[in-house]
Amino acid sequence: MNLATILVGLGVAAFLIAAAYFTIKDFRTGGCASCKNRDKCSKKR
Amino acid sequence: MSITVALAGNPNSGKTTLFNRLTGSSQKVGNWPGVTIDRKEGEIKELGATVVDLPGIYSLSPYSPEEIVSRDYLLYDDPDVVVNIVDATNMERNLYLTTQILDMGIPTVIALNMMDEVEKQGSKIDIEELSRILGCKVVGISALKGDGMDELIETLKSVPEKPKPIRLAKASENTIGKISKVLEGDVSEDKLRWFAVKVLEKDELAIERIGDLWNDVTGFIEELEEADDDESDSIVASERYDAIGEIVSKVLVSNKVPGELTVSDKIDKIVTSKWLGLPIFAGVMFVVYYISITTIGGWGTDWVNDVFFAEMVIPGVESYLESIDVAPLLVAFVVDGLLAGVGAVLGFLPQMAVLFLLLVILEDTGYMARIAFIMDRVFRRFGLSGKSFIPLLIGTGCGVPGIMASRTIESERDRKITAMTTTFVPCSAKLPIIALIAGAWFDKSALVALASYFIGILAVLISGIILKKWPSLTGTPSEFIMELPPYRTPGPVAVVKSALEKVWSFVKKAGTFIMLACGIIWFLSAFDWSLTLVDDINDSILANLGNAVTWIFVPLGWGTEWQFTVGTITGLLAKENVIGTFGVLFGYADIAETGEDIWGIISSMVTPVAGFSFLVFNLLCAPCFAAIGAMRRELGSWKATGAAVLYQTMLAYAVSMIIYQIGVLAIYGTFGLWTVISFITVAVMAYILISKDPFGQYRKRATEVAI
Repeated sequence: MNLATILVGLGVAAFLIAAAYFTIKDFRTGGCASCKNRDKCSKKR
Repeated sequence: MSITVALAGNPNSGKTTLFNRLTGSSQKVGNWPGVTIDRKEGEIKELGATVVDLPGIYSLSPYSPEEIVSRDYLLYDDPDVVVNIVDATNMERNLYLTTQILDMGIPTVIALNMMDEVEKQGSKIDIEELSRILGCKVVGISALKGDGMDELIETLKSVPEKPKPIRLAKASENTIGKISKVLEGDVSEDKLRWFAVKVLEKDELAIERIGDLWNDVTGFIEELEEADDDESDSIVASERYDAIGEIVSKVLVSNKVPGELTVSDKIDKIVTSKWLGLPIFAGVMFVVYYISITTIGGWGTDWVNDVFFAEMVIPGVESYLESIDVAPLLVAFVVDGLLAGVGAVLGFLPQMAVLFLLLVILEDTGYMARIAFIMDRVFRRFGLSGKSFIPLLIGTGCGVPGIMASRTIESERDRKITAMTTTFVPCSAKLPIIALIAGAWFDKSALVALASYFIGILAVLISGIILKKWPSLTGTPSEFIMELPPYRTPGPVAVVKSALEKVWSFVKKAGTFIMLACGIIWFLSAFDWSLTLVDDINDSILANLGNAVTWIFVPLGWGTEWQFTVGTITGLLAKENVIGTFGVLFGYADIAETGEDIWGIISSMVTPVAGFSFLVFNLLCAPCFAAIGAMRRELGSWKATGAAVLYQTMLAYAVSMIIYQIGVLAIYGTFGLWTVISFITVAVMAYILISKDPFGQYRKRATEVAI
């Protein structure tokens, strides 16, 4: 396995982990639309 | 010291627009009543104040849950100041709430909104005189244009004095005085007059609050009712309106000739007429879909698919990864999995962006409020009220806020039926599925989208009839009283901003959740159970899983192709996944490179009737998990939610089967067992729709259990 494969693989993995994190976060709050703190939150959708 | 400012006013008086102006936020606004269903908080940086946007109310005698939110906040949360937003173009009605707020004794500032429209009508309002009469500061503003914001903020810098309540007739004031004496010590000094007036009006919540003291005051109320020969609440309302009439006559110099129709009235005579209202609505929606799917949006989608992804992104990324010698498996994962799935979804972005823009324009002009009015006539015939149409309108953007909007409906029965049926109307996530089917089999015809929209409304109506016959959901529809807002020219900045927010939300979802799902789909479609790469996708894990359940959908015409089944199931996570899954399974990346069309591949697999049946099933079946969660919150239990999801899926299955079986019988003359079953299903549905009590046995059983 060459270095390019490792780097690209790590990049893709990091991206997917971030995607999973934001997805789970959204699901846990039921999405911002239903969140009572939506207006106080700086990360609203 | 930080202060709390509450924004209170009638529905559609511009509270949320003002809230956005004051706080710099971008809450959903709309030119129809009932956009705000829960209170929202923000900050006015210049003041260091917290500002609370409350749902619109016509009076402080609430009927629906969101009206209770407003009243309870004003009563029990003790805001430092109330900014009462009054629609200056309709002062008589708006000041009714003002008179009640003034009774509460909370320092109040009146924000006289839409002053620009008053000027446009050639009328004038004496703001100083109004301020003197009401005993509180009055500021003329235009929340939409931002006029008067500095003056309003300046006024709020010094917390205003407590206002003087508007006095009623002498006899009523005497009774209020007597009631106040009885209530002294039981309610706070500040709220004494407000409770006394509410008790005089026989407000249920106020009576409940004062408990046994009610017995001590009924004599005073009866005395007043006998003297005036009327119910006490009518006496108070009538005297309030008398006082308001007097105030308005003193401060408003109107240029309007009595009986003369405004431009809005003239347009409404046509667009809300009994015979033309619905055809015009259908025509407007056709034009909207024609522009967004067939023409401008369609051209954009063609460019994104054929040029942006096919010629630039996919070959560019693939050749770059190959040039730096990345392992072929990883290249395939990135290109055939992630990019293909997300690319297939984002390909529809131009169509969605145009649709969002047009729908925002329709909302902001005030036309959508007319649709609720028109649909009330139709809905009422089917046991639902026009109030149920507002959640459907909101649901065209996303089902989650649509379902939540059902809480504006007072009747529990109507509320539950609406929450159960809102997702039948295509949300923005279902639009790519509609566009895909229209592109694959129907030459991008706008009629497919229009049919989808009206099939959704029809499903709501049919469900209204079926569900209202169910023992726990019987009853008469809620009354629907809705003030039609005047037509307004939408602000271009606000329209573009609102549409862009929706576009960004879609892009973000595609870049996170959909991409993740596409990665998993690619993995399952590239390997077999022994984790060996497969040459033929039909040998993959996903094909195995799909083939295990795809037979269920054979009567619907597309169960012969496991890819369609997998797309439907992944669509339960998010409806965009249907397209993402297709992108991976039908090789969007390969097709893009060879210049072929994904639509051509898909359309060669099943007939147009089966394609349409697939579309209808995905429109009507169980919504995404987020919407199911919202349904759970509104219906109150998992049992009811499960029943609702089961109902939706059964209806989707029945309707899709009928469309496919009767469609192939009519077009190809194909007749079989499932054709017979489809006719029986039609007969059963007709029986439920026509019969007065089709669920009598369940009603009897429920009664027996209760006994």
